[in-house]
Amino acid sequence: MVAAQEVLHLYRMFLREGRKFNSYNIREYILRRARMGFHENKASPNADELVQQAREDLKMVQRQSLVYSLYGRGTKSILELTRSKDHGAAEDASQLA
Amino acid sequence: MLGPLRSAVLRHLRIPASGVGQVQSPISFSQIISRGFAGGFLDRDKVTERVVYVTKHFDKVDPNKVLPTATFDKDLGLDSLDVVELVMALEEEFGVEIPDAEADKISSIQDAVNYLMSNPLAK
Repeated sequence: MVAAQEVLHLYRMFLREGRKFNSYNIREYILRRARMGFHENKASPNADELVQQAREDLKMVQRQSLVYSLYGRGTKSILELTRSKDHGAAEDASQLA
Repeated sequence: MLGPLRSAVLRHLRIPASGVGQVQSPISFSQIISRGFAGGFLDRDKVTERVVYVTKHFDKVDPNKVLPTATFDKDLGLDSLDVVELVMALEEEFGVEIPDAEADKISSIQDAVNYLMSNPLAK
C-alpha cells in the first residue's frame, strides 16, 4: 500500500509542473486531467498500479514542460484575461470593451 | 603654557547631555521593518482577509461557511486532495512556494495565516 503522503506529493508535483506551461490549452488540460484523475481514483483498490502510472506520467509532464518552454510563445489566450492578479472581473470587462 | 589653565577649566566645565541628539518621536520597530524591506512582513488582519478570500473562491467550498477560524477538513468538508489544491492557490496568491513538509501541516485558515506570516518572502 502506498502512503497517502506520497500520493499528495505526486498530486502537488503535477499541479506545480502543470502551472509552468505557457500555453493555455496544455496547461489547463494537464491541471484538469490531474485533478480529475486523482479525485476519481482516491478510493481505488489498485492504488499501487495507479501510483506507478502517475510517477511515469509525471516524468512525461516534466519532459514536456521543458520542451514547451523551449518553443512556447509569450502570447496569451483571450481566456487568460480573467486571470489578472486583482481578480477584478469588472476590470477585465473594461479591458475587452 | 596654557596646559594647566586648560585642564583646570575643563575639570569644571560640564555640558548637560540632556536634549542633545534625541529624536523627537522614536521610530517604532515595525516602521523600520516596513521601510527597510519593501513588502516585508505582512499585517495579520490583511493576510487573514486574503486567505479567506482565496478560500471563498475555491470551487468546492461553500462561501458562507468560511470563517477565519474554519478548519479545512471538518468545517469546510474538503478532502486531502482539495487541501493540496487550496494550498497551491494560496501559494499563487502570496507568491511563495510552500515545501511539502510545511504544506502537509496546513489544515485550517489559522495554520495558513501563521505560515504565511512567518514566511518572509510572502507578499
